[in-house]
Amino acid sequence: MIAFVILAILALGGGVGVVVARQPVHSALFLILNILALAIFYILLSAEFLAAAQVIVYAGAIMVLFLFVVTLLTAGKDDAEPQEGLAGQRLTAGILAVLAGGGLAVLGVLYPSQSIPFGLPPNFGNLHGMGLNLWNQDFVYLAAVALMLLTAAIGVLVLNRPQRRQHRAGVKGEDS
Amino acid sequence: MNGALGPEYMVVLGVFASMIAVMVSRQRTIAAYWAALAAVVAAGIWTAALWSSPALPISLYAQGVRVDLFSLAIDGLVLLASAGALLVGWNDARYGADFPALVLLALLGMMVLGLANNFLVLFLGIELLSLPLYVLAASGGYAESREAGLKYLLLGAFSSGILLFGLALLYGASGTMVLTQLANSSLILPLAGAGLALTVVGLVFKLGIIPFHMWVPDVYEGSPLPVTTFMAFGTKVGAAAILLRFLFYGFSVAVGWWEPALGYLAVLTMVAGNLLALAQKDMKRLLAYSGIANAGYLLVGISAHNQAGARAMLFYLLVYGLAVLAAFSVFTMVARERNSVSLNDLTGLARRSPWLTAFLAVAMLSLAGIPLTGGFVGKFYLLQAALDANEPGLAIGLVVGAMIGLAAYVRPLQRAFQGGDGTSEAPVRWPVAGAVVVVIAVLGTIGLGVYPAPIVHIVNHSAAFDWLR
Amino acid sequence: MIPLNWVVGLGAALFAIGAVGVMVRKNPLIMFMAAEMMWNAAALVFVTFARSFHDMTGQVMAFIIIGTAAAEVGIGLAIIVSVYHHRHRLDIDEVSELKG
Repeated sequence: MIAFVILAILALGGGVGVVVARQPVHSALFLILNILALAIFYILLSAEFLAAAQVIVYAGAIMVLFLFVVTLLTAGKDDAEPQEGLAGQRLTAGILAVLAGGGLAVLGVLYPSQSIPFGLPPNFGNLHGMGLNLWNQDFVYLAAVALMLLTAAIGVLVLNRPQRRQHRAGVKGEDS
Repeated sequence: MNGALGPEYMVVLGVFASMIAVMVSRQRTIAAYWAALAAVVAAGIWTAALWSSPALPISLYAQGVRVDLFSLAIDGLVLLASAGALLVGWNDARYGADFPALVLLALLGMMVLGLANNFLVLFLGIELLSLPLYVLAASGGYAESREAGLKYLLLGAFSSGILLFGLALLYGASGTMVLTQLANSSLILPLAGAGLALTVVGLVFKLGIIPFHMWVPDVYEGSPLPVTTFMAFGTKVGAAAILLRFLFYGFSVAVGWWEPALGYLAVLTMVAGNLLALAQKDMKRLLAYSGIANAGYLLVGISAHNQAGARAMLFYLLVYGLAVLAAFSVFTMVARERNSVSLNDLTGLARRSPWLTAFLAVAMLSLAGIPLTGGFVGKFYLLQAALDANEPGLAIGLVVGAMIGLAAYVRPLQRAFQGGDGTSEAPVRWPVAGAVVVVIAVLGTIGLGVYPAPIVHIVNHSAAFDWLR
Repeated sequence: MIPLNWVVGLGAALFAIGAVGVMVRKNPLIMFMAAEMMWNAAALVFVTFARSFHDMTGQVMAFIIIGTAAAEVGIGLAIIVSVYHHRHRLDIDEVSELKG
């Protein structure tokens, strides 16, 4: 229970930090804190492989990409957000979301799912067990994720296409 | 195995073929388009061959995937949508050589949505569909397109998050991820209710139902025209298919939980969507609001929750898709190198190109639901389903929505027939690919309005949800 | 062993914080990070329920969420960078005027 309280405080602190931080850099750092806290949760929930994946993929690859882009885009700019326009609407939406989330949290705490009391099956959540799943019956999901990563690769090429190539291809009406 | 996933394999092969074609071919783009179109045709032939297979329905991957006549019908619809999008954007240098590969990847996501039978496949389908579309929406190379992509991305990630959390709660409440096992599992009611609500909100976000529609007009307006065509037809099919599958397989027992809520949303969407469409000057925005209103019609079929409703929804998807294909290919020809068509651009179109105006008129009248077009028959079946389900409110909402919509769709036609002396008298040029799309779509629309029997036969077989009324 | 139902509650709280972040903030980068947090909260809940059912499917789902998030972040950051390249402020309300 003590471990849960400490980790929950870390995760929630990271989460709140992401939302309230003024600078995107600080948000990204808070998100890393949140992600690492979740990774420790995964170990406690006997999902060792996922804990490793969380640290390597999320905290390692994804967040480094985020930090890189944040520093690339916002270096040396003050990032005061303009406070006008839809502020009231946003506030209402935020309050609604807080209420809904509070309700969900209470539901989750009050209605525990049917838990199986006796011991875990062998290889539950470790590399061996995940491998047995992912390379047997669930292989097709892995293939789908591979296709998504391919989409991402194509997407990056399309979106940041060098302008020269477009002109050589004989563009008709380009206004960029 | 026996080739049940053949169409999907063909599409994946098509992705690689089209990418390789870009690499090796001297005339880079055209080869990619041909490869993609060949893959779509091959997948279509395979789908047709599977149709009469005696082994159906086939469950694969621990019941994660279920190939049945419903999924094959959805395959057919989305293959039509992607073929239309490819032809509308045929070999246009603005969209580049990567356009066909991305269209095929999104097409794969739509096909996967048709055969999803567990939460994993549902989520993978949604994401396989969304990720290429974010790129496509942003790929126009002008400011509005990039902003459309950004908006689509942020709201898409948000709604996927809602969907995922709902699925997580449902998993906790039932202990299973397979849709067909949800009904038999002992649900923990409050958790399941919250999970169902969040999941439906996530899916309805993708469909563009009214309280969750704010992304639709901006994204449609900003995206390049062929991409908008694809989104308007394809994503509607995918989202409607998975919503129907999820609710009919998973929650057919707990009907009282979702039927009334979806009914109210449907009525609100039909009326408000058509009202908002009245005020639009930009044709893409008009069709965006029309898409919202038509999503409301589709929701009628789902919330009626009977076999007639499922059939009417499938039929209406085809009708709506053909009308959208025809309208967008006409707009693409009128727009030429620009990316939007306003009401003013249509002024005097009847004098410049009478045939094109006639085609546009058929598409618009079908969307409005005038007799002798497919739109009328589709709305008629939906009305029948709503009355079968003893839900007169739905029927009234549908009729009122269609009446308001009529005014919105007639306005561009009225503009096309009036004025236009002096300015830009040159007739509109017809690219061959676009002409093929518009002629097929218009013939299909009229055909469905005059002689719908063959399609009705197919639809009746594919929406065989025997446990319903 | 840690109390599983409280972990689900924590997941719900993180989900709500992420949702608030998407709705209240205007910087696309921060909105995107908040959306990632929602995905993470869902993954945490999946893993928790997987533990309580002794069922690996929940963990496979969480793994797929992580993989999909990687692809999504790649595309998302590419879009944000390309928007930024052509316009030098990054606020969603300036970027798009909300019409009709």
